[in-house]
Amino acid sequence: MGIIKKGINGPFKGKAGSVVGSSWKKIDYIKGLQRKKGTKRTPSPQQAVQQQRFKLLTQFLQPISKFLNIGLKPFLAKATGVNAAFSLNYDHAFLVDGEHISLNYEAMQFSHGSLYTAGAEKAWLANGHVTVTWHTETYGMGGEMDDTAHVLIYNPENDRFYGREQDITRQDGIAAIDLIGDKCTTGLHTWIFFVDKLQKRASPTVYIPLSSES
Amino acid sequence: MDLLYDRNSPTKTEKPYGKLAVQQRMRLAMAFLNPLRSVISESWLGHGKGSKKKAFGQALKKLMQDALEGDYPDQHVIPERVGISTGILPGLLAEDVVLSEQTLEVYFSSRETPLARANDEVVLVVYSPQRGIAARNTHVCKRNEGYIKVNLPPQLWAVPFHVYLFVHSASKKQYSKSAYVGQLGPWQEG
Repeated sequence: MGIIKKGINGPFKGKAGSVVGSSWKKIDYIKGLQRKKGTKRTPSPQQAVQQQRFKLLTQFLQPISKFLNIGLKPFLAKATGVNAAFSLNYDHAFLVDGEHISLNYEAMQFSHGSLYTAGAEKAWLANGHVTVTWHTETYGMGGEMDDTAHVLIYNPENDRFYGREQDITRQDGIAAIDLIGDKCTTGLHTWIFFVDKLQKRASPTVYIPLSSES
Repeated sequence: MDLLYDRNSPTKTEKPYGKLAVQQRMRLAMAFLNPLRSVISESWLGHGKGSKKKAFGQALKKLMQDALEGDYPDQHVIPERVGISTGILPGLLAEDVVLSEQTLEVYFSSRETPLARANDEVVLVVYSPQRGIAARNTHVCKRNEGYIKVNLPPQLWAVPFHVYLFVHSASKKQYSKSAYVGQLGPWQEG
């Protein structure tokens, strides 16, 4: 895509013939008019695969936009959290088995930054709660005791996300997520990342395989 | 088919070799030093004119000059040549290392010179570039103690890591050049 920097006639807003000018987050865009309904070409097989990938990943990321805005805050100046997460994950987000494409949940990243992960992360399901624990020491570098921990759980069977609204800190070392009332609790996916107190730095996201017991 | 030109075939412009090589050097250097930023921004501060950003930039420059080897696309960082601190204070010599699963102990010695003060503080840094995780001693250790211990974070319990040792004055204004102790891991000691 080309970049219009004050373009040949400067950025403009509104419709000019078959061209529409707009700006978003201080980025100037020139777009073509929307095609009339029914005039869309059928996608080629390669295009169909790309479209399927886009759809899969976007649909997965959209419900957690609030979460992504926290983990990817440094990238929000010129993108939304979902956009940033999309480009961060697109290269490694898919498992391709012949014609079947699915999401690679273990490789998903909802945050990016130089803060350190905690290490020794564990998660298990008991009595309708998923309990997540992690190492609380910081070893003098890359993290503070008051970093906020963000835990996210996804149930692919009913397409629901779970997490805690209240702040949990690195020092706590434990978070319990309530899943009571959810009948499908198999195949859960759990992730954790940390954000510093000022919400300027984030750690990479760690996928925690769910064990049956503590 | 004697095709001369096809307007529909996309034109590919390859980036020049030099540009790709420099970009890779920069990427490698940045990836290696970034997790150590909190240490480097202090230990190189003398070269940064008081700015932590400039200090990190100087460390980056030094790494790119001294510690990168190979030709594009096989360039790599030589960890023993990386300086995570620099300065005029006399450095330390690692005499012995004892590695257990969760701790690392280093016995060191220091030459007696007028610049080497007994109350200089020793810093031991363990670092895994693959994991992007580092740790340092959290207690104060003096030059004359001859022994330092660091707890290893869980991410380093089962992977090889690099060990660096340096000293700074009590006021943190003067630093020594870092000494590379070696690469240690769960399968080797010393």
